[in-house]
Amino acid sequence: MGLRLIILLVLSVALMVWNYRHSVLAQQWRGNLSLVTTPIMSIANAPFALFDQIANRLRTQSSLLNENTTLRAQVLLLGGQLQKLQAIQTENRALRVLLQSSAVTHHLRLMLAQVMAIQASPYAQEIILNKGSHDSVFVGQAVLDAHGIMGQVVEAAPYTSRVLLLTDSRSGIPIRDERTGLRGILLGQGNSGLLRWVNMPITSDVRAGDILVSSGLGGDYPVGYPVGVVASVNPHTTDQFLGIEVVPRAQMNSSEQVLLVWPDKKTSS
Amino acid sequence: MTNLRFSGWCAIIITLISALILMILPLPHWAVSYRPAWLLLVVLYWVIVLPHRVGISIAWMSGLILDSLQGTLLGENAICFAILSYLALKFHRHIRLLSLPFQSLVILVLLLLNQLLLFWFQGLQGQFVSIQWFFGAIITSTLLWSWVFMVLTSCLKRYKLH
Repeated sequence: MGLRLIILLVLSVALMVWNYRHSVLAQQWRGNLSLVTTPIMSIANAPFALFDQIANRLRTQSSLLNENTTLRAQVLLLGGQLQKLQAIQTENRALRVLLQSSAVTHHLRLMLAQVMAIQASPYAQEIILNKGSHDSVFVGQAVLDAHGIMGQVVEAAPYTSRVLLLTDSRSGIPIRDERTGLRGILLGQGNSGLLRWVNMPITSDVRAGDILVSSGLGGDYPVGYPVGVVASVNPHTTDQFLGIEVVPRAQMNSSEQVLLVWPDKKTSS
Repeated sequence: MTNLRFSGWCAIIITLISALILMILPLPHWAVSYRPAWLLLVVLYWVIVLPHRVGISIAWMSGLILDSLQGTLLGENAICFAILSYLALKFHRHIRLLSLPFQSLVILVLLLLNQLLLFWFQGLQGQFVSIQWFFGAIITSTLLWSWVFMVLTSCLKRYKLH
């Protein structure tokens, strides 16, 4: 019994070290193990999915009609905004040609994924999606909701994937201030649900209400998507840096459906 | 006889899977840190009551599955489960003789050790977790031990596990 314990201890430590180094092989191994855990996740999720389905079936005609009218109005509004955007995009391209600058245009492919109703993580801010490497989800992929960037995929099993939210303390995202063009990095703060803009000198021009968009530096997140709004700027800290708190735009806790993004970079000149 | 043995294994595996499901069921925001360590309680119960059937290896494997489920470092929970079940196995005769409240105290000590090890591993990875997380699970798990014990004992009697 003692010998068996020692063997298992050595095995666990070896596994942990191997897993900590994020090797590709270790990730594949995790994927294989998820063949055991995915059914458990599905069973835990099943009652909630069933409840949703029943609730959908039991809706009255009038509420459906109401929803339909609001959705139609929304489509019209968004379509109108899109027309303007397309005009601006063509104009932008033409201007870039005039300036002879090489522009990176991003053709993005999007896919809807459902957030599973499980909390499969004790401390970390993570969500589980019902799409996995079978639908070509990959580790490092960006995840959006209707309002902004939510986080990135950290583990892609065949039929599920694990998303690390921006608010987790292990998460960081490169951003740009839309008003001034200042670049920086936002770090998650864990349970508070806020982000922190770090290492900004006390003289830098940041105001509450500034909209921050992803800068695309580092290549993990797509360029130009809204990330958050500056909530408070506190210059009275003891060190040489501003204490900047940022509220994320994405609704981390209440989103039921999210968008997975595939970057498709084509450099045109 | 083999049929009875098979149904016994089924019962054990079903309790383990139910515990795993309880580990990932969504809880309201304020209650997350008080989630009891269901799987650990169930594994410890089987180790104490059926030590010749459920040993360190099964405990280790349940821990590994929990790691995979929760996205923690593979081996983190597994190593804790192995150490705790080793201790439980070593003293299972003594623990079985105790009344339920005293058993809960023993479980409290084991859970403290478990949280210490887990937080140590989290710290090694550079993740620091608040003190509320440390004690929340310990308190609820200790309080729930008697209940888990009674439920699993009734299950034991129904399936005539030896």
